[in-house]
Amino acid sequence: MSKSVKKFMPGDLWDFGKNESWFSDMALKGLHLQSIGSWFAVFEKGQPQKTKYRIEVLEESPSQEQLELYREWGWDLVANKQMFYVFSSPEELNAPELQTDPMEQGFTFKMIDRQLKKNMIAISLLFLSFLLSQFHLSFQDEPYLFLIKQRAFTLVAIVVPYIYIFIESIRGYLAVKKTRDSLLMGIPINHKRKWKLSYIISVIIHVYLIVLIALLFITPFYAVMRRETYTYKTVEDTPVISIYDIEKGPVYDYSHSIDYDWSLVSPVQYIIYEDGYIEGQMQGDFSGAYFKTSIQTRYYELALRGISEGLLNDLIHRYYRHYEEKLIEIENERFDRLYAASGEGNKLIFASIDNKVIYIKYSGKADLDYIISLIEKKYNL
Amino acid sequence: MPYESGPMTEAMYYVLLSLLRPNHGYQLMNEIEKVSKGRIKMGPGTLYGVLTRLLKDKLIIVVNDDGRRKTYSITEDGRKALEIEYERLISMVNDGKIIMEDRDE
Repeated sequence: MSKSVKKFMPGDLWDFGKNESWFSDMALKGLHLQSIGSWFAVFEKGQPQKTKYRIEVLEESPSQEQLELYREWGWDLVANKQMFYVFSSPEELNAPELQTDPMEQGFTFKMIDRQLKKNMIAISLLFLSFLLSQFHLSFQDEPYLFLIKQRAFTLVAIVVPYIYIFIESIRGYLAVKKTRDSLLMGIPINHKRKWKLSYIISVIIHVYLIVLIALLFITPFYAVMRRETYTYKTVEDTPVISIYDIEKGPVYDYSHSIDYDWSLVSPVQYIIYEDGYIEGQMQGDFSGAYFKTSIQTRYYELALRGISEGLLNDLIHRYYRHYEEKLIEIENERFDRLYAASGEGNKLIFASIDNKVIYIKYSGKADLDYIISLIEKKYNL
Repeated sequence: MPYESGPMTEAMYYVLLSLLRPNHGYQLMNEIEKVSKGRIKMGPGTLYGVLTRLLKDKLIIVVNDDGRRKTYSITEDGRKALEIEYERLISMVNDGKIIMEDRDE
């Protein structure tokens, strides 16, 4: 048994010239076309040979007599897929062309044309309905907060191949129309079209799409796995400052919650809440013996540093909204950006350092500068 | 596009012409060469493309199909179309005669 080699197909079969010259170049390397699948062409390893290939569109499978006639002209059927039939002929045979009338060949393109048009319309309608269903996304006023969710990646991973298929269907239709029009004007097909560049581009696009789709399927499992690892963590294990760091004395009735999340864009995400009571100075009426203290932290580490500014703005937009105190920007060279609002009840801090974005909402007795100094210490600034 | 009179391709004209007598693909090709006095050597790709199209437009029919080969024949519509094309070509040739008159002067 001779060896077979599978190779990725550079383009659609209707791109006659490119495919024919690709098959010929392969034969010159000793790879002779054997069959065509949806993504790959199978070649048989053998002696290098100068071979011509021609792709024909046949509406019905050819009769025995028809194939005999082709053979008599020096052309053997080597592969077939749907209505496309590939014939080959050794170059030294100098076989006459199968198609002797470009105009008539142009008429046979009508069928491909019609099918591609149908495809294009169906895909366009699907694409349109998909866009409409995702229309609300264009009204996102906090795009970065959306972007860091894994759902955003899922959406991209679905949309990108979709756009590719959409563009390909239009491109295919236009290319076939162009070939048909030139045939109808009497210009024969160029059987030696260059295929290398478009082959490379096609491989790159497909690899990219395959990686994207693979990630689409792998990442949810990965996210779940990561989430489980973090179930038993305490606040000390996380990169945020704890209420114990802030309050000097003991904290009574302490409770906390940790939410962990993961996405490709932001692989580390924490929402941590802690509260408790600290001893205060008892007043004459017994009030003020204990004070409630609480801290809520949202902490994000981003895979792309470039979006930290956008995320910070979105956090401010979302969490500062109903706060009566003025938000002021604090000059501090250790932070990329630092904003704070401080009132009677709560203190809000929004900070970005490199690829880290932090939002802290603290209510307690400690003052703002002290908390900021704790953040600096925590991140070795 | 179904055929609605108008200029035919050379291939279409000769296939119709050769099918005035029922014929199958292999013979048909030789017949075309004979009818055109050796001027036209039609490739099998073109031949079967034309046959498929003419069948669709009902200008020819399959009169016999034994599984191995099909025998085709021209229909009444096909004959009419051929006659119209013939008339058109005749008038084209007649109109073209001024070239000769021009040359004689």
